[in-house]
Amino acid sequence: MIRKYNKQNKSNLLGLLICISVVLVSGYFIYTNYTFKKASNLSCDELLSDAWQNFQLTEYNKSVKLFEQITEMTDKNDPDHLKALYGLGNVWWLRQEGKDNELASEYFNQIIKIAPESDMACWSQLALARMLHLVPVGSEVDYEKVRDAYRGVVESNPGHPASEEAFLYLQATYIINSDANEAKIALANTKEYLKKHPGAKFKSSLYSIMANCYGILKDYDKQLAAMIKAYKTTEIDPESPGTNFDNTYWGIANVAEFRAGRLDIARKFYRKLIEEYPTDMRVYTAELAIKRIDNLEKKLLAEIRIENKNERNFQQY
Amino acid sequence: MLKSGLRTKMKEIFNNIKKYLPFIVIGVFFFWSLISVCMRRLEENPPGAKVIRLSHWQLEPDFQTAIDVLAKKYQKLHPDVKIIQEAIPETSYGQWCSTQLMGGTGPDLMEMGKGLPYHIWISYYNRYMVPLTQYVDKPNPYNKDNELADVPFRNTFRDGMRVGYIEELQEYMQVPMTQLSVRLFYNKTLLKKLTGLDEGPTNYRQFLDVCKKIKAHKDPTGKNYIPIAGSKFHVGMWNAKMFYPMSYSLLRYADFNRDGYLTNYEQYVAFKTGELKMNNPEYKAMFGIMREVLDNFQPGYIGLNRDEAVFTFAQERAVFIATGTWDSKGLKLQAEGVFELGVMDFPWPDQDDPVYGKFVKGPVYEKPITCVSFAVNRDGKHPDVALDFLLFMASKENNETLNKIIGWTPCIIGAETEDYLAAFKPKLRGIYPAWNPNLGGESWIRWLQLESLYKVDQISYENLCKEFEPFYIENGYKDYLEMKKDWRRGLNKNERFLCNVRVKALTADKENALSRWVKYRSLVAARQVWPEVNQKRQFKMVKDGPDEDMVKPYIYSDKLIEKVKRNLRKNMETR
Repeated sequence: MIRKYNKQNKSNLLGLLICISVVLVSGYFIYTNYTFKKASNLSCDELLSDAWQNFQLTEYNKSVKLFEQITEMTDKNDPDHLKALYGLGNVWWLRQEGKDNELASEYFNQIIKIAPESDMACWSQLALARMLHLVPVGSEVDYEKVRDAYRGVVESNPGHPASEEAFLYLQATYIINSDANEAKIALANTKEYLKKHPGAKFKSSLYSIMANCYGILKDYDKQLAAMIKAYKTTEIDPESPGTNFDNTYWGIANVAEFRAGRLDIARKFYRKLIEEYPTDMRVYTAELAIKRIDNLEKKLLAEIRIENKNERNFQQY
Repeated sequence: MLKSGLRTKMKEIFNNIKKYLPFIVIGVFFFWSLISVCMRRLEENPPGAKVIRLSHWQLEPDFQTAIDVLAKKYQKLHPDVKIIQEAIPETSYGQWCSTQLMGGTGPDLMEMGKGLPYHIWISYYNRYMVPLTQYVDKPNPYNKDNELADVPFRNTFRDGMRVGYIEELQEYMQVPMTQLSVRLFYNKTLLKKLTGLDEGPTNYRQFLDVCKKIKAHKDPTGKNYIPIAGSKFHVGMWNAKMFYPMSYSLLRYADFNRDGYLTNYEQYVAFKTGELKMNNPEYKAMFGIMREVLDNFQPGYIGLNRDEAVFTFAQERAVFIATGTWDSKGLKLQAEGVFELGVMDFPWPDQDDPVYGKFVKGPVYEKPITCVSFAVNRDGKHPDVALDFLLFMASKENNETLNKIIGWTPCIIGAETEDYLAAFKPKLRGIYPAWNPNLGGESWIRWLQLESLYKVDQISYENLCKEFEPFYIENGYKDYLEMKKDWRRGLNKNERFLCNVRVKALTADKENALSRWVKYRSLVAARQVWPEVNQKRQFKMVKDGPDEDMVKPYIYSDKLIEKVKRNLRKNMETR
């Protein structure tokens, strides 16, 4: 009887477990279906916003589902369709796990095929170039291929923000090896670009490229001039006007003092660092630098006066 | 008969009670606790009130008192607000925050940064907290009656609210409440007894003499007095304030990228090319002063933890102890009625010191460190009120009150501190270390092992140099390559981050578009363009050394002197 009782208890327990499992699984499917149905009541804009929000929160699978939903809801020439494809391309490219560069490329190429003149097509071209540039650890970057890709973006989308960004990346590839010949290429390209595009948004960065080129070519006067131009053309975020110039001031002062021999400019920028960034670690070093400059100037002026006096004496004689 | 009937009934009732006593007791206690909880909830959450929950891990009683005081003050101004603080133990704080945030029951104000890896906190800032960037450039309304009335909120902080800015998100996400710094505390009573001095010696040579005198005396247990109470934890403070800054002058030989700092790869390149050696006079001075000071720590200090050193000091077996503002009130309380507590600066040598004077180019720089930072939970019922209370706490007057009660240093400019904390004001002008051997990997492990042996005098300076330098040069390259791989992994992470910023710019309305695009462009340059250029240059330098014709970074070349002279002549002629 006890054995019978135990057997009955066991089967009751098993039955209970099965019921609970069924309830849980059904509940899960109802919930996901509900959530999905809820999602399908949203507009494209809302779905796009949710999809990107999920991407930002690294919920890549949810993000993919939402972008796919948009592509199903929209006609291929619809701008939202292209935005969704762009989203899918980025998710498959940039997600941490389950990355699929091939699939990502397919999405980007699809956009370029459907609407080659569209905004999303430009950004997609840039994404394809960046995919070539950002190789996995252990692989080497094929800079020739990367440069071709960036050039393609620049030439086929003149004036587009993606094109300007591609131009910046392209010139940077010429200065990374500190090679004089490549620096000359970057310098010529950048000068021409700034002439043709006086309103370029990346102007400050492009002047920094020029400063780097001049540094490689050891033309320190021009390097200093380009660094100052880069500083003066820095974009200020209107929402956060407190842009940090501490490194900029230090860099200009240092090059002015030790490369270009412009002690007046060096003094000016060391002082700016001291006044505008009083908690910066280098403030005291900047003060010592100003003293050093003052001492050097005093010494050299004394030498010049002696030289001038000797010259006058010689001429009189 | 009636009596016997009643007795039977009573007996029956009594038996029933006895039979069901456990359940009755449980029931009574259950209902009692239910009522207590309900009453407490009602008290904490009066109907119609806006309840703000604030969580932190600061279990110091005065911290909770300080928050209560400010809460009461705030509630007087805003009677419809009720502020409740939740003090959670350090050890479980991280898990508690995770469950609260994920469960949607997170507090309105949360102290950030404890108990979880940094990248987890970043994800919590991203998912759950309100970005504060739009508020930080406006004045704090609670400063309207003082000199900070028109000063942008972030500029009211001694460090410019730098710690509130989260680089990974490019947003201000939290507001700090206090400032930390480190000094030497000392037992004035014991110092007077053992050396005759009324104040702690700030001159280095005098300090060493005082330590010698202290060691010569025996305490009531027959053991020699200990000049400096130390532990593994405390050595780090001495490294930063007394030892490593001795290397400052070497910056001029190895700051190849001219940014004013000596990075780990620059130090490696300098060692590899022979520009720097372990027996450079500055490094010799650094290890020399280390030896001299550490010889005054208690034996076996390297195996002790922080509390053991504090215990030694509190028991009056040691005269000096290095610690920060976080311990100041605790030490003051322990000393009360037992001995007089003094505070002094570290006895950094002056420029007249016969041995170290030539290496001392100035005082030691102290970065103002603000902390105990709170973020606003966007899922809270009243994030606007939570933010308002945060601004209230970070106003000059209230920050001063908060920190005075706790015994810490305020982080708001102009806020006053207790007299005994005046010594903790950070020195913003000074020199800093040019010593950075951390390339990770084997070379770093080897350094840590050898440095520990040196610190406990189990290896001489000569052997330290002999053992470390060749190992560092040989293995440092491998370790550097590993670091480079981490950097490359970071590029993809940055690209993902930039994608989010780009999308925000692409979808911004007219009002926000300019700001979003400016942010995007500056991040493209700062996160992807320049790091690759710099990394490539670094790698070239590590592999091949600096260019042959490269002049030492901070030396005037002959060519440069000629150029300067030419410019000066020109200026003289034009005048």
